[in-house]
Amino acid sequence: MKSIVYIFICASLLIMSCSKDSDIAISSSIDKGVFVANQGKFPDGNGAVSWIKDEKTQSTDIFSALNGGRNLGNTVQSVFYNNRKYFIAVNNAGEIEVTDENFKSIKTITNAGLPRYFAAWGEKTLVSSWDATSELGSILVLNENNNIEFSFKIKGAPEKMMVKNDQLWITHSNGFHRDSVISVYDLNNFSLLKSFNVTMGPNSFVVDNIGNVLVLCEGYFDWVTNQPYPGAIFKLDLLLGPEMLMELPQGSSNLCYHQASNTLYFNDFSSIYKFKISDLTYERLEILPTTSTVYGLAIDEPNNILYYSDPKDFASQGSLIAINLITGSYINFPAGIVPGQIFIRN
Amino acid sequence: MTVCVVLRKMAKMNTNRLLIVLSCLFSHALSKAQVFYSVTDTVIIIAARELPFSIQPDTFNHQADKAADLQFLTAVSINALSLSGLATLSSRGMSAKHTGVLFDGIPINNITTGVTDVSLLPFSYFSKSRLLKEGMVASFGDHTLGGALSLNPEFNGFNHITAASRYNTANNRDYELNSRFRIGNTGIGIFLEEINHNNNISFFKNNERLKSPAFMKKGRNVNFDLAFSPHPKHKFSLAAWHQQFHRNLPGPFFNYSGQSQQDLNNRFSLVHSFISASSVIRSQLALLDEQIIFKAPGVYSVSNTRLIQISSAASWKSGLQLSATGKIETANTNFYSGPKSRSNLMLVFGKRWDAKTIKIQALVAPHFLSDGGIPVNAEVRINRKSFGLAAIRNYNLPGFNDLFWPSGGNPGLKPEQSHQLSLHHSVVWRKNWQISSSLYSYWVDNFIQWVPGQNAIWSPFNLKKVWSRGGDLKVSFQWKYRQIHTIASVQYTLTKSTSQFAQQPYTSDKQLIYIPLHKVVFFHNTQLLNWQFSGNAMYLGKRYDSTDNFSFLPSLWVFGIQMNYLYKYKNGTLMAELSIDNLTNKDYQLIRSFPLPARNFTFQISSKYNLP
Repeated sequence: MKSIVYIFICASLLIMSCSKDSDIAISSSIDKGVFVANQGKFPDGNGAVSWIKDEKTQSTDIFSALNGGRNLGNTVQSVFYNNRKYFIAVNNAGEIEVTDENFKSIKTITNAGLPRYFAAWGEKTLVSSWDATSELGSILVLNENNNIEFSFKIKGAPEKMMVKNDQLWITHSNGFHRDSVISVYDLNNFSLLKSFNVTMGPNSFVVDNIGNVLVLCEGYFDWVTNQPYPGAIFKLDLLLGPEMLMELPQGSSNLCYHQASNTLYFNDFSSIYKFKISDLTYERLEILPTTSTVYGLAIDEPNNILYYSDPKDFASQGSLIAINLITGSYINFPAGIVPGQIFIRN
Repeated sequence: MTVCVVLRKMAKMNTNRLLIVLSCLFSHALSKAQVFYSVTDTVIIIAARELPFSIQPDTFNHQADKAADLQFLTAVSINALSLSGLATLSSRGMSAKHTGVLFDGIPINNITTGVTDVSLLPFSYFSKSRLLKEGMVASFGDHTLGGALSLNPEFNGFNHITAASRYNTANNRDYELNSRFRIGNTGIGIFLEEINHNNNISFFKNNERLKSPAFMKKGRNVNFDLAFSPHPKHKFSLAAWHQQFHRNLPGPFFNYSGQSQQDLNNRFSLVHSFISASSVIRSQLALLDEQIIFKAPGVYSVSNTRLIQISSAASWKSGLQLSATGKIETANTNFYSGPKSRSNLMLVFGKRWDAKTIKIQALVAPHFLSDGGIPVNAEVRINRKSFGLAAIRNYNLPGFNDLFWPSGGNPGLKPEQSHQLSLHHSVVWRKNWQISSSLYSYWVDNFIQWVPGQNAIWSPFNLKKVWSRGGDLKVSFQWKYRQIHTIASVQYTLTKSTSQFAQQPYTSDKQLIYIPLHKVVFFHNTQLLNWQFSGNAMYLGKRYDSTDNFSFLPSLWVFGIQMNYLYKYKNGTLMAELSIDNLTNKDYQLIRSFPLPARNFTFQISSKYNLP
């Protein structure tokens, strides 16, 4: 009788412990599509890059699928393509992963501080990076061989960047502290050309169809006093300085530009806004009613599609939602955990 | 043939039915045994509380020296940020906020966070700790809805001093001094533990073995206990505990994160017992004074909390029980908008009936809160021979962070409510075998869940329902033959803990994160003359780390062995011990990206000197 009982225990263990998890197979060449930087659950972080192409999620974790199951690590902040390579900023792991066009790992750069975002400078790639130990961030210059050719310190938390006419424009975001600075550097000698003060939390740039540099600021939220400070949009001129065009909701970020209609798009945590530059007005865009949070935003102008990422409860698989700007229809693509930045390669 | 048919039928059963069948089978099997008796007759007293008789505490049979070792207790899950970071414990699929860690019967769960960092516990001092698996709010108050780990020191006689020194290959050193002596009819214990950890941990990342930089953890535990009886009817006991630690906290895979934490805790408890022919009255005064300073880039938070508790419990031979507990909690932090406090009074009315083969106890405990609420805890426990049954209704109060967190805190939160059914069975068979098993089902309503809102502000609401059910089975064996003494045990825990949350349908009926569905622990210890050999093996099932069960940590086996030699001399003993943990070099993570050490060695020397 005893032996029968023990057999039942072992059998039940076996029966209840077996399960199989499905995987999305990659069947397409990685030449274009939408790439989503999934940050992973904080603080344990299982960051990943999702890839959407041909109206289908080809992989929720393309790096792991093509690199022998290797994980990117903690907090994948952004993904970028330049000079026939993909660059992935793994922020909390302090690493930059460089892959070839087939997403196979070429190099892992480990002395990168806390890397944030990328910008293309010809065949070189620029990286903004924070530092956990001081109030100085860095700008790294990666050469064609994926080595850090040069780096320079910069005050605050450098975030998104823009290269325009051999000038590097940098937003100093609300990283570890509040900030309200835009810096412009000469890429020929990395000297500071100009520094602007705008509203708190500058985070993203675009250049409009007449060459104006527009920057979006998120403002600031004081957690202690429960007081929101609004964001704003500025026009920046190297000679004339900043000009505030309009005050915007606190949390405004991810500035995108649709050139054909001269329209800007940006989001706060719960909404997406459409901003008409010509008449300086903005309105809410209709989004999926099941959306929990709007976290990342990007525009695919040739196809008239606006993408946004929804991390849901920040602890489960999120979604990438595509809005057709012509028809108003939606498509919902599964992504990874805490989908954030969106990069589009056409 | 019959076995195959039965196996096929059982393969088709769902989990709950399978558990019931197994439990019945065991009961049937054991009822046929020739000799057995119940082990539920012992009365356990913790400070001012006499535990309900049907409690089936689980004790260590493995020497713990770190938080992860607590997993050798059935039904326990440990979440640990490797060796030097925060480690919390939960029982039966409930969270760490619902599992109390009791110091002399007082939950020491932090007033702001609601959890206890068990990585700072002096395991050598509290070596006889017990896991109380059922809801214990009527006995111990808040934070014990899911059970409690009662920290109990080992009282192994008086008039001796023990000194120990321990070194681990992570470059960690511990020093301990433990003395117990008697003066007249007063027993005194003094314990000092000094921790000097560098935490140079070997670990695995993407199948590559690496070594971490040092993450310093330094500090001490100082414990004092005293018991005296000035009169046959009066007994006093005093327990005091000073804790002071400073540590650098690692980031994922031991990246430098710029985070550090200082803990400074002082705890004090005084208990008086008055024993007469017809009654026992126990009174307790407890004071907890705790400070946490946490630093990170852009963050400097200071939390000073204090708890004062006065309680008195009386039990009569007639079976009547009455108690009253008054508690005041205060928090002064630099992140709340001003000092915060809360007070409450819990009354307990109980009756116990003892017949020949059956015992019944009923408790009703209304909890009078300072905001006007009066949740009523209640329980009925029945014991018959070797079986116990408990039906419990417990409440858990919202924590201070839930109520007062800047911008997001919700002062309108209601207590979480739980209804529990628990069944257990324990027998000794043929003197050598002890078999204990339990089944349980907990339903929790108004479960507090933080959700994101406007301006990316997260706030808690009573939105979720949780259903935790499962059971455990422990089989222990001991055998003695001349100079050889062997103890072995195997325990299996099944924990199915799922939630229902209308706002997040993708999480419905999914296993709660970091709670393994299956856990198996083997333990063996053999003593031969002056030598002792131990081995342990633990199987941790798959643990999901996303709320929709999209992502998980794989299941794994972890093995460990210990060997020690005891040398006896005239006035004492000298022991040398070698332990090897993670023997097979597994990539062992309890929280993703915070690996526990790869194979590591600990060497300990201890000496016990008997005072004349």
